[in-house]
Amino acid sequence: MTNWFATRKLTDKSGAGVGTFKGRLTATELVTRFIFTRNNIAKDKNNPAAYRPKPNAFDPPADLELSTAHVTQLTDDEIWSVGRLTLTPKRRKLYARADLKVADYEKSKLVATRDNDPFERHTVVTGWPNPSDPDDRKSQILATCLELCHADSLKMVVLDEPIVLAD
Amino acid sequence: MTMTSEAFVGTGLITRPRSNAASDSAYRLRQLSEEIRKHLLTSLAVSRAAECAMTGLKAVRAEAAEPDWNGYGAKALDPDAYANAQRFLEALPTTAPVPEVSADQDGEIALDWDFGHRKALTIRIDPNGRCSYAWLRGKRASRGTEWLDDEIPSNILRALDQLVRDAQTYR
Repeated sequence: MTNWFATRKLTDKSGAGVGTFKGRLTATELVTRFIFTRNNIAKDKNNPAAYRPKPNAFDPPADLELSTAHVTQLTDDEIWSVGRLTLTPKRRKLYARADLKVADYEKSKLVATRDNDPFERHTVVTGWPNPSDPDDRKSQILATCLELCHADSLKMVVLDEPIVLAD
Repeated sequence: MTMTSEAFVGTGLITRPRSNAASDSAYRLRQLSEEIRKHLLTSLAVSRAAECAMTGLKAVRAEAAEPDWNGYGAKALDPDAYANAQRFLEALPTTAPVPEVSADQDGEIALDWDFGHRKALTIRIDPNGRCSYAWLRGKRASRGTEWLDDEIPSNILRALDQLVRDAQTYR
């Protein structure tokens, strides 16, 4: 996949170029969760101009690998460019994103690992609670998602108009 | 006679009557309670709130009708989860704040009350009536699982009540 910002020279602690970096992200790195449905966005009760992700914005799929993107040091436009890469004929609109420091995922015992698959900067968040009792699993995951929605580093960015996949 | 009518503290209004009692007086009391509840539902403010929640629920049914409605491979909304959420919302105290209604990854209904930073309650209602919940009140947090019957599970109602009271205190 062609990706102009993959070559951007950013450095992490290991000194490797961030554009090609693969592996576990450290606490200070920033990742974003792209939001493709208005269903996952709530208005902030105390500030009508602000928004908050609903807990279901962080609901992991059945394989418990939450898809995010590594966006440390990218500009706003560059982050939306990453978002454009995630659009497909079945996932045509991008409404918002929830930026979070990896430290906040780690507070919930989650791990962010950049794997660049299926697109450059793709990062999986793993380590979700997975007890054998399904009731317990559901409520633990729910509690984790709720914590992420109220994390200190959370920055929710909602587009005035969604980015739409061109025909 | 053993009949309890749980108050939604902070509002002073009542939920649906809750009783296993079979005596005449218990029956009359139950009827009276239900009449009060119906009367409240005819008031503009209260009926509008209930209507709002139901409208939200219907909108979610339309949005989450097909699989992958969230772009991350979510299941389509389960009709039984929808029906249980409807029961839940009908049983909600008439003056309780209206939740944000949405669907979740597993095809369940999500109800969210957000009162500000780290003051929130979230619930998932599944097709079998399982209510998974989690709440935050500042540094305090809790979670659990309850089952929906004719009324809102008391742990959930207590959490909501406490969050509402906190919100009123710090307003």
